[in-house]
Amino acid sequence: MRRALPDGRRKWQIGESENRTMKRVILMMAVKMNRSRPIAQALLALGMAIACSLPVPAQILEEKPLLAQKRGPQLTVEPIDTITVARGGKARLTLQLELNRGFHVNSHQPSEDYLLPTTVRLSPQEGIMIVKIAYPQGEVMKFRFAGSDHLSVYSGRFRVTAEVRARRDAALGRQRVHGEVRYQACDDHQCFPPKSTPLHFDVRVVRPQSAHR
Amino acid sequence: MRRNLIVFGLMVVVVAGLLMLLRYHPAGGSTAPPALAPGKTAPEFTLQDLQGNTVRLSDLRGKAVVLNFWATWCPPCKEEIPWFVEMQKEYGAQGLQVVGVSMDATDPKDVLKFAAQYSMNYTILFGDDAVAEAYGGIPYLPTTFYIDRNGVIVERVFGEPPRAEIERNVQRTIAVQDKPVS
Repeated sequence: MRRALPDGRRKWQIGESENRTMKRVILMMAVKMNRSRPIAQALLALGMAIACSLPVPAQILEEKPLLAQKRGPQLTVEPIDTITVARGGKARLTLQLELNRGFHVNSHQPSEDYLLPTTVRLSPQEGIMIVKIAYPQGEVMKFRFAGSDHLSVYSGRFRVTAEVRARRDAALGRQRVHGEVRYQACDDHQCFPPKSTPLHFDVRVVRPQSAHR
Repeated sequence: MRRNLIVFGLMVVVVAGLLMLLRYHPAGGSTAPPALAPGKTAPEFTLQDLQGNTVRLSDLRGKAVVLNFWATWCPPCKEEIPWFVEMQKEYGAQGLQVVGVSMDATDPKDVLKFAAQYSMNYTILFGDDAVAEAYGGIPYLPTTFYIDRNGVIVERVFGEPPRAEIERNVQRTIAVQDKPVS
């Protein structure tokens, strides 16, 4: 039976029904062996023993994820829908971020000066401005490795919002905005070098009267 | 029939046990390449210290070296620093040399400032990709290698261990005597 793991991977697991079937097969084989010769009996026992000693599930039954995911922190950004904004107007941008289980990143305002904050950087084309980037408040937590320091961190899913503005003379049509989320993650024992997750989304600039259509 | 079943079951258990014993390798769950395992020679490196001097691992031959990869942004590294300061004070006379390899990609002045702030009394070097690669990629920090007076790796530790474990490793490392070069 294949079961989904929390990190998206899938793993083979032996369920109740498979277990019952295996027991039935072993019992039938053993009963048949009762009528056969001792050498055949020994050979079958050896074969079953080899099967029993093969690598355990972690090594052979666990499938690799669809997207290559190395062991370590991975911050992902959900796909962002096209944002429609009128010339001279504004629209809301929401970035839904998710960090894989077991890791945390510093919040945008870490509790200590030496820590690297989680930061979103966006590079819009001329005529588009991204302003008022708002980060969530970090969760203040204590970690054994940080001694008496309490750290302000994000983990799991969190959201960053911003305002997209189009100048009155912004070019009409669709423009792609590229950016990245910079973060530095740790688990409960060690820290990983700073990384960035690229992101992009489209902004469609329209005439003022058509923005609400 | 019952007796045969018992004999059959015992045969399976005994052979499976023997095979599993043959397959067992006490790897300790480490991801470091075998070349960096305890007992192997520590890879040579050439790096700059805070004063701009060139330092090679081979320059430290005859000393017991604690090679600690760290960064200013790493809380567990910061937690270990006072312990390494203490180890350097306590065991320096017995031939210990703690070497901190900073993996910061920021302005070297930040590392200098940090070293002064935490009164780091041991050698600080600026790390680079070559040293990281030579020591297994250093995918996470802190990572520490204990290297004896002959340049042989005594222990490698990933993450922040308790202070007592650091001291135990230091004592093990300085206990190894220098072999005369033939």
